[in-house]
Amino acid sequence: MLKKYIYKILPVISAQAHCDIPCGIYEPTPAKIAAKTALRMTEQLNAFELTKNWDDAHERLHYLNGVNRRIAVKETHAEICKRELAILWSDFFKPEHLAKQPNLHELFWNAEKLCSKVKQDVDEEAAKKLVGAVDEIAKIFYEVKNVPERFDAYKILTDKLY
Amino acid sequence: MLFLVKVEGESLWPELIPGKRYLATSLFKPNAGDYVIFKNPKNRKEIFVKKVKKIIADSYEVSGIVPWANSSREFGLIPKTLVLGKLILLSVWWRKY
Repeated sequence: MLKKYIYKILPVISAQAHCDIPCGIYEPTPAKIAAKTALRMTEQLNAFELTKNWDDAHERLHYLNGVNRRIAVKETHAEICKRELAILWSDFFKPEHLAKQPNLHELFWNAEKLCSKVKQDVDEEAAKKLVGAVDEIAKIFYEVKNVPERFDAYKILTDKLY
Repeated sequence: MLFLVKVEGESLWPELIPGKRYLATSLFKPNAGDYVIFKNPKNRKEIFVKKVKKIIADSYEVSGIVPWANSSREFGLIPKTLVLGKLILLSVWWRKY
């Protein structure tokens, strides 16, 4: 009874007993690895020459197998990149980050569309643009987390994957 | 002054339950072991509730209960000027309701 009365008369403020789950496990590196894998597959597909002996069943199969494997990996990793970016976009970034980075939504939107473009085609230009877009998002990510120096470590690690 | 604090988040689980309201006051100085309500030094629009671990000069070192909770490691020591109050009456009687 007394408590009900107290609840009615006293002002209420909300206080966050904030946890670091899942903040601590957000990271743009998986998106970059996936984007670089898709780029690598695109480069290899462009360089993979058509067999000269198409009538030879073994050579034809070897060629088709090589192409198909690279397409499958490209498709899978472009999708992984899309998902990893979507997680950062929807779960990590908050409205206050948007106030500091007004182009954040556009950046993510374009990057997600580039993932689709990389899947739809064998387009080296699009794959390179995707890698660049992930880097741009990663730079903002580390700035927002107040650890801008970690962007350099991220670049050193992910730029030399192959 | 007396006020109520609605807890959001589970870093002080099971001592403080998310969604529940607790009685607080700005009349008493927080001591080690108390639950303190303060403005986040890194973003003063945010209000946090944490447990006082240690009092260092004019500041408080705070932490959560669960090991993954945010603490003074992330947002530093809390100067007394950012403290809004501390929770009181954390008795069985108060929690029951």
